[in-house]
Amino acid sequence: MPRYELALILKAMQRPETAAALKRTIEALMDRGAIVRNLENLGERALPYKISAHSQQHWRGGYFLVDFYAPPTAVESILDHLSRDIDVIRPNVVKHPLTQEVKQCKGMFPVPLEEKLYAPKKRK
Amino acid sequence: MAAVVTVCSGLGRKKLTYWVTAAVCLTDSGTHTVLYRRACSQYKQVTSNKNLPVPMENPYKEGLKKYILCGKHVDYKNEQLLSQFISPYTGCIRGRHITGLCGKKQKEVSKAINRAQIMGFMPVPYKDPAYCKDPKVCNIKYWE
Repeated sequence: MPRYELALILKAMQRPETAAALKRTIEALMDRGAIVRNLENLGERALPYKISAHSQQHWRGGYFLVDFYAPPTAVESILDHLSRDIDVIRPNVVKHPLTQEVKQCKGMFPVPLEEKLYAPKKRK
Repeated sequence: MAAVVTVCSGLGRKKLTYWVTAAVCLTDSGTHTVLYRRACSQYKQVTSNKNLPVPMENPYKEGLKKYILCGKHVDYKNEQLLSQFISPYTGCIRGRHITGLCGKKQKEVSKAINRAQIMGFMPVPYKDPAYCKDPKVCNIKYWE
């Protein structure tokens, strides 16, 4: 099963409410056949811009990161469910960045300056 | 000690070939005097391949220059790194000629910046003030 990452932004709430919201989220993930691997808290901080969600404006939010394995067909239903949750400001499911291989880069080939002198003719 | 130098003239001045031989005899153990001989062009040259240059790859060749972020993973969560490639006043992503990144890395960085801005990790119209004092990576100067 491919590995996904859920970048979750929750409303700025008290600790027990945040815990309840997270518990709800992970249970929803597991109901759809996802295997949750790890849950990270990136802290509560001011949002980069004002986000309005569920007829409310938010300036602060708690950032959480969930990486999980899930079948590709379940991703759509997960996003659907999370968008209906009131406490969630912005859910985003992305392919896990660690699964992307970093290709070996030998370096940049030096381009001779003569090539740069004349720009290629643009065709209309 | 006694150096005997004999100069023999050529076989004939018409031919313009001349050869000079110098014979030196050693009497002292410590002194070594140079034995000089300039062979005549009429003599056959013995060609030996020992001292000729051997074709090989340039041993002093420098490897391909690696630029910043070569071989490193770019993440959308890494707001501080991505902020180094945007303008602090307008928040626009710097072009390739300013950042000096490889083609692949420039694409990765710009995609990561876009992603971070949409997902709520990075502000769009400006650079986060906390990261304004970061070391400059791009090839751009500002009026102070």
